[in-house]
Amino acid sequence: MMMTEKERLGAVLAGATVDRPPVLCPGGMMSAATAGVLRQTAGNRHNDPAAMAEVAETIRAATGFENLGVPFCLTVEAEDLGSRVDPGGAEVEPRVAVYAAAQPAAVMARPLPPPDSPSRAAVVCDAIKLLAARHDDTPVIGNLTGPMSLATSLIDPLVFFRLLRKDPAGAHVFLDYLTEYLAGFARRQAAAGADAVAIADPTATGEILGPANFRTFVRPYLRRLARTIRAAGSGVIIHICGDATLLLEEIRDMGPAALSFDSVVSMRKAQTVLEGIPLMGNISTQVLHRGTPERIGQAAKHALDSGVSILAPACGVSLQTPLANLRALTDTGRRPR
Amino acid sequence: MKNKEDILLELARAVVDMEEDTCRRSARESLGAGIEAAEAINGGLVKGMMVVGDKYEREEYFIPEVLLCSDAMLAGLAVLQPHLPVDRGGTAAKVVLGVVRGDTHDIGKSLVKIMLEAAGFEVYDLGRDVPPADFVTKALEVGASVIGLSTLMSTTMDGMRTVIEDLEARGIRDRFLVMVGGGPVSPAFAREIGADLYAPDANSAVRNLTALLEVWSCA
Repeated sequence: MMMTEKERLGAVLAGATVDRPPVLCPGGMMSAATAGVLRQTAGNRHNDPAAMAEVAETIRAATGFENLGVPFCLTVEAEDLGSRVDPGGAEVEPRVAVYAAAQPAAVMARPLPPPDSPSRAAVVCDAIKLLAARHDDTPVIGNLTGPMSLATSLIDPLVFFRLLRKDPAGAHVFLDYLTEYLAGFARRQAAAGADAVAIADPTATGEILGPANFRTFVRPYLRRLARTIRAAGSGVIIHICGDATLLLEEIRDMGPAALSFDSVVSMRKAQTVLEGIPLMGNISTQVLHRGTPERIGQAAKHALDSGVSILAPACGVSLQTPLANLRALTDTGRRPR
Repeated sequence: MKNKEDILLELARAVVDMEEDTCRRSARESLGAGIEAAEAINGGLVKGMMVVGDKYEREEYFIPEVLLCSDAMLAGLAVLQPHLPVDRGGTAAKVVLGVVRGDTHDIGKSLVKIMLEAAGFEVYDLGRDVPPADFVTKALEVGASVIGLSTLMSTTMDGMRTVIEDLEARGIRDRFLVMVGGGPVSPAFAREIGADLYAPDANSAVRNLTALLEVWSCA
């Protein structure tokens, strides 16, 4: 039986059997809006829903990834909550230039943008609506910044990390506030037609926080978001940066989500601990950027042989990555197994 | 009354246990007991910070813990520093440090700074999202011998190459040791772009840099 791309992703995220793993680049932190793609598009892809949807469609056409993903950065929520964002350009992704405040209380005292305002979150939801209306068979993936990464995009990470130890209760109040906001944004993405929502929390790594802090300050919030998204009817992907091998025990119970890992993680080893959880990954983004198409095809085959449920880049894709290299990844992934 | 050894141990322990107030108090106590400020720093605070570095390497401490240890160390240092003889530190090697443009993560870089300063280096921190040319300008301005480049994002690694190319273009490459580090950076990448030193973490950055500088200054 031949599945559509949408059916295939839906089945994988629900833990059902599929004909072969889908090959994805969800968007957000893991976006394939490379210089090669952007040469084929115009318009303000970060602030105009039509331009955003068009870039997502161009990525799919130019690279062969089996999804449509928006947005193309990890700054949407931070900007809506008060940080100043430098939009970057064709070679540099948007990034936080000035933090919203010095302390969490000042962020929480600020009113949230109303749902009907032209916030960046609204742009993302409108783009999802456009994409969902135009594509019956290709899944639309919305993206979310994880709570720890959002907290450290709003106030200086070094200030927030100190709070984890100096004022754990205060840190929890802030993370809880941000998680509620993110849950609302995720529900709007699901309602707009996102088949799945991918959460990336690149600050919440084993190397930065360690297992104990991850258990206390990361897992409960990601789990809450995963359940919220599932309850809203969409699939969930959680990307964990860095060496998640340090956290294997901690991430066994992340709620109803597929887990995406960086290239340092051995997928075979991860599977032995995370049995039954769909794993996504983990083609080195350096190999994608600088390797030959042949080498990338081999890496993709190796990932498939080690049993990934979803074939994907391992982390943020360099904007200078050649389209032929992304094609080499998707061509290998699309071959029947 | 506590003897000198007890006070030095207490200073080190306060750093390791992240106790800012204890550290400040012990620093004052050391002065009261007639311990030289330099000895209290090296035999107490720095020793404590070395234990912290080891704990970080052994994955017993992580970034939040190291930050609070460093706060405790700095609190003690603020008490002791005014009592140092004025000429101290005149020979410290100068390091210009920063995160290359496109990346606003500076956690790893800040950690390297903390460990370098604890080891006696004079650090000029350019912060995050730094244009490649700024590294060279600052290094020339302050007479630094080391340029440290960090990134956590694979998308911005090329900025490191640009800095080295810039040094070569100006014909001043051999005046600086270039050290690179950060999540996606590998020893192979460091070699490829012609960096002198690859630092997998803050502790090895200090260790390897100290060793390399010794060789370098003898050559």
